[in-house]
Amino acid sequence: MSEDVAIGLTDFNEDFKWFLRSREELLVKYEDKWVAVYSRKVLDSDEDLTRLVERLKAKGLHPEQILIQFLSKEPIEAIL
Amino acid sequence: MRIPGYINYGYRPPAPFVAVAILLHELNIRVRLPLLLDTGASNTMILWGDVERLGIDVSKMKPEKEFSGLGGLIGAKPVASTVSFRSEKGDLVEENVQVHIVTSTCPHLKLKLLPSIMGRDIINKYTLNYSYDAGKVYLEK
Repeated sequence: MSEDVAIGLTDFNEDFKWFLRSREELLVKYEDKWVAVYSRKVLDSDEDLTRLVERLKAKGLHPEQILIQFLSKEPIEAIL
Repeated sequence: MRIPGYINYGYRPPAPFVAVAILLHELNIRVRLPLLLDTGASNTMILWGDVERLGIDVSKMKPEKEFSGLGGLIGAKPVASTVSFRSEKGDLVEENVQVHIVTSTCPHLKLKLLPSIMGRDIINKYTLNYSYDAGKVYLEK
């Protein structure tokens, strides 16, 4: 099990790095959308998070294991 | 042992993140997600966007704790969890903590954009090295 987690986490780190690096290019196509990223590719996108999650599930994918991020042209400003 | 983090330029100013896998034991949910390294937060917490992504029905969860923040008070349910990181050398590093799941209704759609956060309950177990100018962020033990 630990080995599975390690492998999954390694892939997830690569997807997150790819997403951060590709932000500007992705914004051109996916501005103000949620994007699902897996294996350094955008699998699907939607303006609505619930709709995107449901579509991923319908395709037999596991949204909880996939990087899902919102692409907003204006960087997010927040104090948590 | 070093755990690499990343600077996310989708925030203004850019913000430090770390990628983790979390096993929420009693919910039997295993999730991968980036967490904002938030030294201003007492606890690690899963916020509204990720709650929706995970399909957690918070209406069935009894909030057991309240947290105060700039937005007011929010209720949260602590869940025994294992948080896993990947070190620079590829080793798996695990922390057993209570991850808090926000149970309050999301007061505004925009708040779904907020990332889940890693708080001081985990950060304090490490040295946090963060240099924005050098583009470096990592946790070290």
